[in-house]
Amino acid sequence: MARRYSLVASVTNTASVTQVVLTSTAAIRPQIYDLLIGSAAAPADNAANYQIKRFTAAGTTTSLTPQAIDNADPAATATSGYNASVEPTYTANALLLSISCNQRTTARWLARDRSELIAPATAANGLGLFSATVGGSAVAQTYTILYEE
Amino acid sequence: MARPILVDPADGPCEICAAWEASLTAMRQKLGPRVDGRPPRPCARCGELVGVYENMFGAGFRSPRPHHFHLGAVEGTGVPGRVGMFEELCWDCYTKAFAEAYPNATCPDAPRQMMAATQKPLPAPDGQLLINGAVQERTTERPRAEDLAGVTLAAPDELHGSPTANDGSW
Repeated sequence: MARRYSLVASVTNTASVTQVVLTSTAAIRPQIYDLLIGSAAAPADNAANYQIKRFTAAGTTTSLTPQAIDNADPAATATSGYNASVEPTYTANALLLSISCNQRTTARWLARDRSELIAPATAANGLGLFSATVGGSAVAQTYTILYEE
Repeated sequence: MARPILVDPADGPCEICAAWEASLTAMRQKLGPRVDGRPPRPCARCGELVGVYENMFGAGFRSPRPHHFHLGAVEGTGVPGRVGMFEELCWDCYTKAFAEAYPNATCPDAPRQMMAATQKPLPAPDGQLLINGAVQERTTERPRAEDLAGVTLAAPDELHGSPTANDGSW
């Protein structure tokens, strides 16, 4: 049975910056099935558009350790990071998901069965949560991504 | 670093995006709507056909930084912002754009290329001779020695199968 992991990161959603990456290996195919986006910052009318895109190289990010949802499971094989200082190498014009939301709301995307976003079993390939557009000011956002591998 | 280019679509269609679309249209008119089963995609900088890379489904590489921005509201929220417009690049132009964007970072390795941008060799029309995959004009003269340099002629066994390696499949 697939093992499930959680990623939680708090990042300022600067436009055109990748917020979270999930990087695969040749041995697994990580699948995102739940995504939560919310902000604990002081309420204000800021908005942003987030996209999930495929990449073929993960760029440079601050490392983030996936947490096993079942603590009997071993450490995750996939790796993760947040707040990219060097953007991943994205495939152009290939969006898997696009969510626009106001800072005052919490957005949740939950995959229906067999609609999980799947990264290929190829080293350094993966999925990136990208802050495409920010209206108003960039604010700290908290992301929770649940995936299985 | 150069200041960003801001285009207000309220003033009319973006000329930069229109030029990209024109390049795409011109390539599709030249090569047809599909090349080897996929729509041809030109590099936004050099105009060359983008190759096919593993897990990229024939698409090119997104530029590391937005080329320009469109002013507009964040979709569905009504909050004004600016939308980054990225270029679709071939690998060579991507590496140059990466070096411009991140001069101190090491450019990642290219993903595995599944098919060259030049695509597989076209079938030779009747009456033409293929040497090393390249079409040569057929003449009544015998091929010159220099034309055949480097050409390995198949042994008869390779052409018709080897009786000694017969597995019953032929």
